[in-house]
Amino acid sequence: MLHAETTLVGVSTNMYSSSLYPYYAALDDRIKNKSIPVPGNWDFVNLESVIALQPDLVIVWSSQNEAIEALESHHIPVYAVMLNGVDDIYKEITDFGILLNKQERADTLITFTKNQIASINKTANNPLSVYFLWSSGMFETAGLKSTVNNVIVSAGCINACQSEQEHISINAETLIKWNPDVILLWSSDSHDPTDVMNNSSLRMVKAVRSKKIFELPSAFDCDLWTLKYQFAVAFLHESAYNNSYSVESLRSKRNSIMTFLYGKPF
Amino acid sequence: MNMRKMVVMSLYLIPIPVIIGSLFIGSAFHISLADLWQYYTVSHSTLSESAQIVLFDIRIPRILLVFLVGAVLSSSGGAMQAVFRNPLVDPFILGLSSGAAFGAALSVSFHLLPLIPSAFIFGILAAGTSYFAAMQNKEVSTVSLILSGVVVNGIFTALLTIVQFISDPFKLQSIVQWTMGNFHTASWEKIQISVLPMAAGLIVLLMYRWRLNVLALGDDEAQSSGVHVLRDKLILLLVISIACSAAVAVAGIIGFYGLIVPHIVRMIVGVDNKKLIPLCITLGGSFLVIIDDISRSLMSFELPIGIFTMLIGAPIFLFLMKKNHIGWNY
Amino acid sequence: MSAFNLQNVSYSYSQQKVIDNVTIDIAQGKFTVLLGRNGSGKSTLLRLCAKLLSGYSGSMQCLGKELSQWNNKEFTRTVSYLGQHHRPVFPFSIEDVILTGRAGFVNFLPSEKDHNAVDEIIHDLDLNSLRNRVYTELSGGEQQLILIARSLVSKPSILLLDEPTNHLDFTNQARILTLAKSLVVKGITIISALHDPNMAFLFGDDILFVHEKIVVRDGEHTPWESPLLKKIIPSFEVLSDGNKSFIIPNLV
Repeated sequence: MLHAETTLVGVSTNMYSSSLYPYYAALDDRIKNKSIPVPGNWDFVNLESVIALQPDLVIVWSSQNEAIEALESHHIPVYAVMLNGVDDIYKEITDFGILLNKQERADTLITFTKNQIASINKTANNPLSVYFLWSSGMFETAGLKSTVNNVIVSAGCINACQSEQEHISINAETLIKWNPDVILLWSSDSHDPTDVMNNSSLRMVKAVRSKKIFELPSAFDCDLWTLKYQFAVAFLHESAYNNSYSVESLRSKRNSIMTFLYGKPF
Repeated sequence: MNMRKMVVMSLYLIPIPVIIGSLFIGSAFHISLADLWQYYTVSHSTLSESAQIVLFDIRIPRILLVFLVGAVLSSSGGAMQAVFRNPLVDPFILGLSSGAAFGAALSVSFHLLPLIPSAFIFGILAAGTSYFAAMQNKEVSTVSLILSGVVVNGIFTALLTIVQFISDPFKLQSIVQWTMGNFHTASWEKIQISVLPMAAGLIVLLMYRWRLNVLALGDDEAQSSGVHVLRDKLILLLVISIACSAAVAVAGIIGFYGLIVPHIVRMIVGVDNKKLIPLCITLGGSFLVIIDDISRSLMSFELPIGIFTMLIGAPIFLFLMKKNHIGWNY
Repeated sequence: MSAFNLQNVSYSYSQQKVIDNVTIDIAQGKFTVLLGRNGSGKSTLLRLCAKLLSGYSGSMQCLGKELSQWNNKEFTRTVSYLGQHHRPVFPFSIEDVILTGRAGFVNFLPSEKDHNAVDEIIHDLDLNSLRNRVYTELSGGEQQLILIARSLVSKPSILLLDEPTNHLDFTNQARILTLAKSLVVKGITIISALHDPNMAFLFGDDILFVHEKIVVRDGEHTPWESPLLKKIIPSFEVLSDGNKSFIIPNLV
């Protein structure tokens, strides 16, 4: 996104997972040929491999305290990230812009995204309530302190789950009580909207009766921990409020976002 | 009838008030006994359709599932302690729980099989591996069985860690949650899949409840008084493994429950397995329902029940142990 | 008919031979003692007789019927076995322990009749004072009494005892063996392994010497004069008092 891909000397193994690989392969031949080193994944860093790459900067989740300490003790600069909401994403992009000397591009990206979000027509009176569902189960949802909540609010809806936690487990009884207007599923091959439709104990829930159950199109397109969250916002807004939204218009929306961010719609 | 007998009798009947009382406990909907009474005596329209769903499709299956799982884990634990002649074992000693956890994780991460069958199959597989690894000249000694169980446990825990390692964080969370036990996804469907192995297990344990006394005395003693020790042990371990794998498959791993409850029951009625097994069923089931009630009513969100069984069960256990000075020789 | 008749019986644990070509006859209605040192094969012989071991060679008959022909339940009602080194784990009540001896009569749950048999044996052996105690809290001698009661509750005609006086003090040794002797008077055949020769001579009607995998009876000598005893105990002196004789270690 920042046009700084040539500075990469190593990536996470997660890049090679089946759902993400096609996209990153299209972006970079080194990933396509699997020739770029993969010294770790989201939870584990092979220090020796990282040091061997002699990087000028390592970007890592801030929860990996030991790895960060170890890298710093070898005088390798570390930028640690934790994304608890969209403001963190903007900060991350701004910081990367500074660190990689791409400030102008970073500003452009952020302005574009903020404009996209602002362009969404918020129907102020009677916002719909949305229950978000992670792929790990029917009753795993996200509370107020989460990017998911930012997406829901940005789409002009309110989160059915008003609890503070980022990730929270509830039960069927609570879901019936919340009675959301819309149910939004995280993109996953382990579930789809018919699972919710077919769950007879949820048959009185408004979203089920009005069949407003949607699954985010793809984990890459809607990646909630990147600027691509804007597409998730657009998707939710269109599906929730625009009963006659066309797949075509959503498709072109997606393509324009991807083209702006990556230079190609894939 | 003396006081003590009255107490024991009431313990057999305790599931009835506990199950009925639990119907009216929940964080979201308030349904009272009067509401239910009106529903049956006046008109079905006195309860909103949502309230009916909550009561009949959500609370009842959950309470029944919790009861069954609690009963299976407790009575299996009591029976295992008699079979192994060791008060420190629990139903998971043969590696069943880590096998099932591995099966569940495999399913969550790679979708080879649906979660419940996958957990069930790997639970049985782990227990079976322990049993056959311990077999020598058609004999299975208790010590080698416990040893092979510990080793198989270790193998499956390592395999589980590998799966956790290569899983992405979304899946990781559900694996972790599963390994602490959870009932928030209880449904009639889950009861349907698991009731047969669990009920069959309970029936066989009830049939064998006196035979457990004979087995608990020692292999030679049991064999020479006319019990086919190897056959009986095999039947019991098989039935326990199937029932507990089913319980773990639908509820996750509720650790230590199968160890603690039999001891609590022994402190009340003594070590006679003829009384112990039925009371493990009624008390073990009811106690887990009460613990689940507490977790359901305390918070609007769900925490793994394994946390509560430890935090509530363990102090009660320690208190009773201190108070009762039970006469263990070892 | 003899209680047990063994013809060319051999038995091995894995590769190790522990009983080697034994041919012996044990009569009914007597207190037969298997006398031998630790590890001589006494326990194995008793376990063979109790049908606890399979895979022996030769012929073993109990009351005229080959062991393999016996139905298991019927056998356990006829022959009771009391092993050594019983380590109780659970604090069972006395009655529960004795009741387990009825397993050969019980399908799944003991009946009124089984409970009555327990009452009867408690009365017969005068164990009423122990009735309300917990098995694990009894002394060694009391535990052994309970286990004998457990062996007798199935009303067997043959009782196999493996070192019943092991780990007991002098008084309790005498108590247990006197009880055994009184059972013989009531018509029960007792076959007991012992390692104390004096107890064996005092209580036994028939002494079988067990030495290095073989079992032999000396029909010619009194036990303390038998050359077989010398094989078991290489060095001892005999003290005689009237018709009773005792052996003591040879003090040099």
